[in-house]
Amino acid sequence: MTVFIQGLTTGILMGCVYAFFAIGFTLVLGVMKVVNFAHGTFVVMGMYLAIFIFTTYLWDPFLSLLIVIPSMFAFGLVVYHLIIRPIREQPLSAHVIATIGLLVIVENIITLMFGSQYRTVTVSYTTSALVVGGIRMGIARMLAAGTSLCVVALSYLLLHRTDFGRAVRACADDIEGAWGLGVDVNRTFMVAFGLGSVLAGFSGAAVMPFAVASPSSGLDIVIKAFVIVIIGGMGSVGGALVGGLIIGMVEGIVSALWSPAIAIAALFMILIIMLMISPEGFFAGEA
Amino acid sequence: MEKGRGWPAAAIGISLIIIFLGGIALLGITPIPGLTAPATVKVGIDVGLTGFAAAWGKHAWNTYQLAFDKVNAEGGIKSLAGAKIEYKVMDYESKPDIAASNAEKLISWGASVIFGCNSSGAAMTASQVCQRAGISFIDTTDADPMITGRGFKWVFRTCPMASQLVPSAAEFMTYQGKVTGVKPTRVALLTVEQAFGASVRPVFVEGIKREGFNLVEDITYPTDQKDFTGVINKLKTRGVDFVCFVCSTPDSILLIRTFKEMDYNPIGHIGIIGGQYTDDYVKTLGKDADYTFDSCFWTPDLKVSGMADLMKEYRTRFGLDFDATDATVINSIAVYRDALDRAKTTEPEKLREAIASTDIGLGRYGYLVPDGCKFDATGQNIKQKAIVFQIMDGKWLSVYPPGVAASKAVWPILKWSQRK
Repeated sequence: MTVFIQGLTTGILMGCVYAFFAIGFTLVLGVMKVVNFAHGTFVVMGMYLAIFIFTTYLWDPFLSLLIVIPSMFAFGLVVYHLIIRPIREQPLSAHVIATIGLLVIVENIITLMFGSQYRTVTVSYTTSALVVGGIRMGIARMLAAGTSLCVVALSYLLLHRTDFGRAVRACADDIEGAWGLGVDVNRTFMVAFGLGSVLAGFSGAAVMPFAVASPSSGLDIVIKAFVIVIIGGMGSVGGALVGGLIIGMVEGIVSALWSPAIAIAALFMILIIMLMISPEGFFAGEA
Repeated sequence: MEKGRGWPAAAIGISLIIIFLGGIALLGITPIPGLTAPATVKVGIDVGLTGFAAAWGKHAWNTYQLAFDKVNAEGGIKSLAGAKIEYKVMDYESKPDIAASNAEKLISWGASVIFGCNSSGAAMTASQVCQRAGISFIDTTDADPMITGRGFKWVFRTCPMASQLVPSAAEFMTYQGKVTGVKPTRVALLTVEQAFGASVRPVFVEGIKREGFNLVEDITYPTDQKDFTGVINKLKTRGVDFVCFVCSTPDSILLIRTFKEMDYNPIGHIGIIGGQYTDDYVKTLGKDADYTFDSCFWTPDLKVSGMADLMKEYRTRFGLDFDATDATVINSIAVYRDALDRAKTTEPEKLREAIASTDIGLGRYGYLVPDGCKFDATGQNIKQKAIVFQIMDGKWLSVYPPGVAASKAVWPILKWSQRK
C-alpha cells in the first residue's frame, strides 16, 4: 500500500509539472490554432537560462525568473513576428515545418552556447524531502508543483476575468467576430504567443532544482504536452492540469508497481481510450 | 638489311620511360594501391557529440585530437615515411541510423579505419557499414556482445565487453561479502532501454544468479526517464539491499539524487561502465557520487608509465579530467599505430590482417590497461582485464581484482545520514 501511495503522491507532483509544461502549448494551440513543435525547446531555453544565471550569479532558479520571464516574453514576440504570424493562416503542414525548423535552430544554438552534455543545478534543497506518514515528497518537486498550480490559477483568472482574456477567447471562438467587435486580433495573438513562451520558459526554470537538462530534450517535452492537450482539451488551462495529473499519476503508479517501461505503454493506452471516448478532450472548447 | 635505329634512339626511349614513370610517381599514382607511402593517413571518427552519448563522445573526441595531434607533431607514422594523420569526426547525435550514414561518408572521404562509437546501438550500425565496405572498424568502449558476435571480420573491439565486465562486478560482490561478512541478500537490477542496456541485462542477470545472489527486482526503464522516485520506493519497500545498474550518465545522476531524496541506503550499488565513470557524474553529484562502484576498464590510479603526463596534458588542453573513455581511445589508437607499423600500408585487407594479429602489452604506444590487447577470432580483445572502482572524494579508485587494485573498498557504503 505504501508503494501505491508513494507512487500516487509522486505522480501528482510530477503531473503538476507536466501540466506546467503544457499550459503554454495549449494556450497557443487553442487560441491561434498553431501547433508549436518548438514549445518543448522553449521549455529547454528556460532551463538553460536558469542554468546560466545560476552558474554566473549563483541565483536560485526561482530567483532567475526575474530575468527568464521578460526574456522569454521578448523572445516570444520576436518569434511571433518573424515566424508565427506569416504561417498562422497557412495549412497545418506549414506550421509543422516552420516550428520544427525553429526547434532545430534553437536546439543547435543552445548546443553551441552550452555544449551538448547534460547539465544540472544543485541547490541546497535539490535532494531534500518532506516526510509525511512515511511518504517522502521532494522539496524541489513540491516547489515546482506548487508554482504550477499558482500559474494554472492565474492563467485561468487572466483568461476569464480580464479584458485581455475575453479578447483571447473571442479570437479563439471567432476571429472575424472579434475583429468586428474592435478586438486587435494581431496584437492579441502576439501577446498570447509571448505569454505561451513565458509559460514554457517559466516551467523550464522551475524544474531545474531537480531536473537534468539537455539541448535535445525539447521534442520529448512537446510530445508529452501534446498528449496532455489531447486528454485535457485544446486551449483549456484546466484541461492541461487534468491531463497532466492523469499522466503523472499513471506514470507514478505504474512505475512504482511494475516498471517505468510499462508506464509509457499505459500512457498511450489511455491516450487511445481518450481518443475513442472523447477525441476533443475533457474540457474541449473552453479556451 | 635495314639498319637499326641505334643507341641514340634507345637512349631517348629509356629516358622517356624514366621521365614518364617519375611523373606518375610524383602524381602519387601507382599501379598497385598502398605500395607507396601516403602523405597522409585518413582516420574516421564516428562519435556522439550530442544527445545521451555526448558525455562519453565529447571525451573521446578530445582524446582523438590530443593523440593524433601528438603523433603528427612527433613526425607522423614512421613506418609510412612520416605520413601525417588526417582525422575527421562526425557526430551521430546519439542516433544509430546517423552513425551508419556517418560511417558511409567517412569511408567515401577515404578513411583507412573508422573509430567509434560510445554507444552500442551506434556501434552495431556503423560496424555493419564498415563490414560491407571492407574497412576496419575499431570499437573503443561499447559493451554489447553482438558487436563482435556477428562473425564480422572487419570489426574489432579493444575494450572488454559485457560478458567480461559483468562477471567482475558479480565476483566483486561475492568477494566483498566474504572479506567483510556483509553479503547482499536481496539484489535489484535497473537497466536502461538502449542497445547497451538490452545487451548487458541478460549477462548481468546470469552473473548475479551464478554467484548465488537473490535477484528480487529486474526493472527496465526508458532512455528519457525523468523520475525514479517510484522505482526507488519500490526497492526500499521490497528490502533490496544491493542495486546493480546498467545506465547512462543522466540516469545515473538522477538515480543517485533520488537515492538521497528517498533516503535509500543499500549496502552498495554497482554499474557496468555507463555514467559512473564520466567526470560529468562526479562533477554534478559532488560528494554524493562517493561510494559508487562500477565495473570498468580503467582507473587513474593504475601504475602505467607516461599516464600521469598524459592526464596533465589532457587537463591543460581541455580543462577536464581524463577518464575511462579517454583511456579506451588511447588504447584503440595504440592498436592502430602498432598495426600500421606491421602492415606498412593502409591497404584495407593488409591493414585488417595486421589489426587482427595484434598482440601488444601494457605501455605499447601508451596502452593504458593491463594486460594489453590481443584479438580472438571474433575481433574481441581477450587480454584486457575489467577493473572495479569505487569513487571516493571525487576520485576513481581501483578496488578489484586484488592483484591490480590500489585501494580497499568501503563496504557497506555509508548511509546518507552518516555522510558529511
